[in-house]
Amino acid sequence: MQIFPHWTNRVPVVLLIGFFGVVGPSTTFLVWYYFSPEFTDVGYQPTQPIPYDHALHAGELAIDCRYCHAQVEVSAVASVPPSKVCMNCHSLVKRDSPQLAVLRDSVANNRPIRWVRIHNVPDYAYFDHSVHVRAGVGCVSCHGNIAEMVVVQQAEPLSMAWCLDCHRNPEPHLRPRDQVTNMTWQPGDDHAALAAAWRSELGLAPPESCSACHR
Amino acid sequence: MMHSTRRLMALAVMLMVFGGCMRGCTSPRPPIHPNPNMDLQPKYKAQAESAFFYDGMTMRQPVEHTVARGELERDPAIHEGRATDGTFLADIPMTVDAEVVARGAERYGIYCTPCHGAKGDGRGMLYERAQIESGDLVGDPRIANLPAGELFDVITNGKGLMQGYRYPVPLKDRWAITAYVRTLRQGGAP
Repeated sequence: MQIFPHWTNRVPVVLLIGFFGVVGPSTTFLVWYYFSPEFTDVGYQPTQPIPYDHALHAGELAIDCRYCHAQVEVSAVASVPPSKVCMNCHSLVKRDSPQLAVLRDSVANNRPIRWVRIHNVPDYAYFDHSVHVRAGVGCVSCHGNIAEMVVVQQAEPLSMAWCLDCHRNPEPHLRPRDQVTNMTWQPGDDHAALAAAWRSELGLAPPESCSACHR
Repeated sequence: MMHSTRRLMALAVMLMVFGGCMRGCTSPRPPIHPNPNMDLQPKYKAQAESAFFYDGMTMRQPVEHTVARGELERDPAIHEGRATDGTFLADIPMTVDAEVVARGAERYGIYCTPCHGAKGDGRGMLYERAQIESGDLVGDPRIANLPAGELFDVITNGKGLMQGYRYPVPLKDRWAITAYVRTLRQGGAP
């Protein structure tokens, strides 16, 4: 008497092919595609308490990034400006705009505005804006062209592989240090030579050791 | 019947995988990390919100009537632009060389041009867009004849419609801007 019917002869083969041919590759694909910050984080575009328009302020009005993000050259954080900085202009311009009610309330009652943080590296990674700005890495390299974003979104994955790509080959992202906040600066044909010169002039040796970013 | 259910399921899977959201499409919802690691730790980061402190801020204000190390402003010349008798200094109380003026020019470009304009004629972006004229640093004799100390005082504490720039411009940069503004009225770049 046969315990197993005839078709069970094919089970091991089907399982093997199914696992290595279908389940394995598709799981690999799904994890590779959907678990990456390229998918999870890029494009994060939260609704802010005030519909602040970077395309207007940084683009059309050409206000330098550092007018508001004033600590970027000296501190690890670029800093979101205190509401008082907005009032430098908005005590004169659009004084009664309903969109700025949150701002006026913040200034009058000394309460911070709950801006939503967009670019958030994992808490075990310690990024320092000042050192990158001083090295001549443009804002646009990590943040995308903010001057064209009406609502800011995350443009780059900020993943470790992405950081290391630049740490291993920083030259393409270097620029003259007075052009760091310029969103439209383009490297010229002689960029490779210039970048190498800037690199040796500043003694740039981007670290690749774990403890450079993780402590 | 069986057939159509299966087809629907296949369609749903296809939609999830291909139709849902490709890399890089925008979403207002916070990122979900399928593998959370320790990406979000219960610790305070700069400018974060706090559920503990009464004002909701992680970053604390200095205790009242205290001064942080190195931030005591007790030299009337360098911190207020005044002589000991309270009058404004005629000159800048630190060495002004080309480097300082260049720094001032750069800082002027960041913090002053929106209102005063690149040439210092009081017609920056604010004038172009809202027809609000700012002080003419070059042509207005009232401003052009200000002693350096008073210019520094206006940058620091503001005057009239202008807000003070104690924050975000640090002390030395405010003096550098003062130096640059004085070269502006002598006809442009240093």
